[in-house]
Amino acid sequence: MAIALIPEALGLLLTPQNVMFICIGVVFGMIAGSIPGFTGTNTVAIALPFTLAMRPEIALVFMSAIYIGANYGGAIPAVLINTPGTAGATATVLDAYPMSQQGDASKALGISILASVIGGFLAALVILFLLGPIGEIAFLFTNREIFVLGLFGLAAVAAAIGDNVRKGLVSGFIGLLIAAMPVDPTTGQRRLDFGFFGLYDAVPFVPVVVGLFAISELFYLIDKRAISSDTDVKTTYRDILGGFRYVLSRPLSLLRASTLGLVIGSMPGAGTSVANFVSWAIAKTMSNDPDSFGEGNPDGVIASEGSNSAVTAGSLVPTLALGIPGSGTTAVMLAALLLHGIRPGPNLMQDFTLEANIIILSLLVGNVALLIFALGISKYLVRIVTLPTFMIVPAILVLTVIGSYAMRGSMFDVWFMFLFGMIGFVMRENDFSLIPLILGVILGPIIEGAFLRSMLISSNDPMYFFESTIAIILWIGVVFVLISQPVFTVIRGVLESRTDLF
Amino acid sequence: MVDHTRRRFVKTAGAGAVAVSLAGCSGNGGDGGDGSDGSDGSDGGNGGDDYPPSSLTFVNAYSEGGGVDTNFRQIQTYFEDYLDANFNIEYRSGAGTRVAANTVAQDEELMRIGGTLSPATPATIAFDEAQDDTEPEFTLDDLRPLGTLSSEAAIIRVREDEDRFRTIQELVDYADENPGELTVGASAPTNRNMLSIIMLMEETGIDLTLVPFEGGGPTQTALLQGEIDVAARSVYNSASIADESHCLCVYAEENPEPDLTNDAPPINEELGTDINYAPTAGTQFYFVSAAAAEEYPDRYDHVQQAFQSAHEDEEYRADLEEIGELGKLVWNSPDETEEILQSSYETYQEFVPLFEEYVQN
Repeated sequence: MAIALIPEALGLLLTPQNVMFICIGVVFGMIAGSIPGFTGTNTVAIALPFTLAMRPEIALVFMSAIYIGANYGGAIPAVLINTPGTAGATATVLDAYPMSQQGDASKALGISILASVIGGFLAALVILFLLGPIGEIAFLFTNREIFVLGLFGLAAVAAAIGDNVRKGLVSGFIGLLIAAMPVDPTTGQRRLDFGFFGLYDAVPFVPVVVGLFAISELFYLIDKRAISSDTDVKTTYRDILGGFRYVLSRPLSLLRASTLGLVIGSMPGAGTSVANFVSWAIAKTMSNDPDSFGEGNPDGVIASEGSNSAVTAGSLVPTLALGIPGSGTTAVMLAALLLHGIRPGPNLMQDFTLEANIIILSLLVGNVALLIFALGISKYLVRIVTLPTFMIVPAILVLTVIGSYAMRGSMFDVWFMFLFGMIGFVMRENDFSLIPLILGVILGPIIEGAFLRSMLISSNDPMYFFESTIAIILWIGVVFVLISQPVFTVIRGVLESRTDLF
Repeated sequence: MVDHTRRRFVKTAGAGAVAVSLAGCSGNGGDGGDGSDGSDGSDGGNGGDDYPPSSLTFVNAYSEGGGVDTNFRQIQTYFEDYLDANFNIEYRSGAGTRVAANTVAQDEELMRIGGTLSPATPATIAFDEAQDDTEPEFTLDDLRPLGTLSSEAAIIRVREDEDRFRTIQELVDYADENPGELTVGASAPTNRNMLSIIMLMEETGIDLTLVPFEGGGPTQTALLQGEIDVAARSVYNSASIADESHCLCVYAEENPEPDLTNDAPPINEELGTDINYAPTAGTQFYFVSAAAAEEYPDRYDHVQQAFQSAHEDEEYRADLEEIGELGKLVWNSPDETEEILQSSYETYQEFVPLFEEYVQN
């Protein structure tokens, strides 16, 4: 990155007009992202007609701001109504919603805001100076490494599930089986779609997640007076700022989440949906109190939100440095770049240095805008958890139906969501964790596709998966997360038994 | 000229974007039900009605940011001007363009215009018919083209630093001496790019390892990463890696874009083969429901004329020339487009066994 151009880029960026577009973009993105099923990709695509009329740098600043807003917006329903607004906020649900139920909705929102802002800010700062090197590292991830990374994600979560490994594995395998329903990625042959074109080439992720989390939750909510057991919950800025203070007291957790988000986001083929789970699972594994994860541990919210906002910056790395979109949203941004005559790729830094600087700096400014606007509206949003359920349940129902329908404009997806709502309820009643199932659905296609392509490339040689340094490091990670918890449990047991002897 | 374009964008983008946002939420407005529930408000006659309404829906068979999306964005304002209506955009990617084609085919009021590719859409019908248990949900008779927008020839790319072969003849010779060693990536298991390689293997008898990816982007990434040796791509949709790769040949009678393709020769000319180029070319075309076109011939004429006028618009062409993409524009009348679709369908009927042999076994 040409550091000398940063002052000039800042001068061009910080005009009243650009700042206004950043503010509009962040708010627009935040609102759209908070609607379950309305992804960052949809939102940026909506903005595309506007951006074509703008100067290229303004267009890119505007789209980046929308991306940041949408990415954070997903956390709002995750905290308040047990429904991730975007796939990247799925792991946020696990701890943020229990916090809301315990009367800590303000704190949970405060944590999600600041973790998002700092995570995104740090990641943008890193790529401002290290875009080239990060792009080169990300470029080393072929299908082989993506496959092992996917396995690492599965293993990390399986290990983090804790109590009942058998039920966790059953849940995970069901998720993988569901993910295997569409066509074979390398032969195009139909498999278990039962004749439904809605399942032809992908299992719709949003209806599965919304059904499992939100619809199943409605079965429990109808027996309550409000989401929060504490209906006198105060929605003060003091509690939100308390969440801010909590985040600031966990710098290492935030740094770890941001780093993971940045690295995973940089890899073409990975993204927020992988990053937030991996980050959450690693945070749980490394925690002194792993059992509290999933029960309302604020560190779980930091892990998820810190990582998914860093993915925003990370996914721009392959987009800008290689001309390869790191996510669906950056695919739209790539199209916008091309329409404006900016050709991303290895020569971007030579040919469009100033524009690249402006895009990345706009992420920094966008995160500051996010902090202001998210803080501004949060006080009012948290009151949702105190609303009586006769109001909130129908509202959630409508919102989830719209969200599931919006993704593909398909009623099939709405029925699919209800199906998974019932599956989720049955699983929860029988103490099966939903997390491995969701992870299986998310990672299944990535793992399967990467595995099959690697096998084709290597002429079915399994040793191919051990022939790169990155893959070997990831394999070691897989083994570590699988054996660390049982080993620690044994060691703890031995130490405790010896302590008892004395 | 650019300012003029931007003014028009500003004029239309507001309504367009709001409409798009609603489209995102409302999806198709009800399968087959859009407009049919009284929204016609018209006499249902032949054009003496209020048609077009303030907005029509463009149903994109692919996802946001893809080639169909980019091309539509480029022509959208011109199309809207001639049409005198704005477009909502629906992305109905999935099931190999079947979802979008079927959505448009069920439109009873000519409120939807589809954008897709040949041979992708006609090929799905051939593939579905070849499967014993799958009844195609639509046939070519259900679709009425407005004309073609663009076409791009298939090409073969290798890395710029590839030193084992610098011509298609050298690649064939190398593959002949090292059967199965070379890996060739394509953007899907059963698409035209994969077909271009299968036809090369059929004609020359060489043995290549075929590796299907999920999209052109990942295929290009794998090529640049060195994960695969060869990428089967097309002229314009691989322009972003033109500098980092070397084009060996084009599947066309003459090279339409020498600057983007290292002035590579036509494959038949170089190898003396007899490969049929037509089924390997990607033709973007727009279409409407055949039933609606028959019911409302004046509506169809209005939409078709608007599309053709936009296609011929000087400013639109100047815009494309400015970004070096004018060469992709190809016009074929609705009847000619219908012939292309029929030909693609018949060709893929013949090729289904080849896909089964090379990809699915």
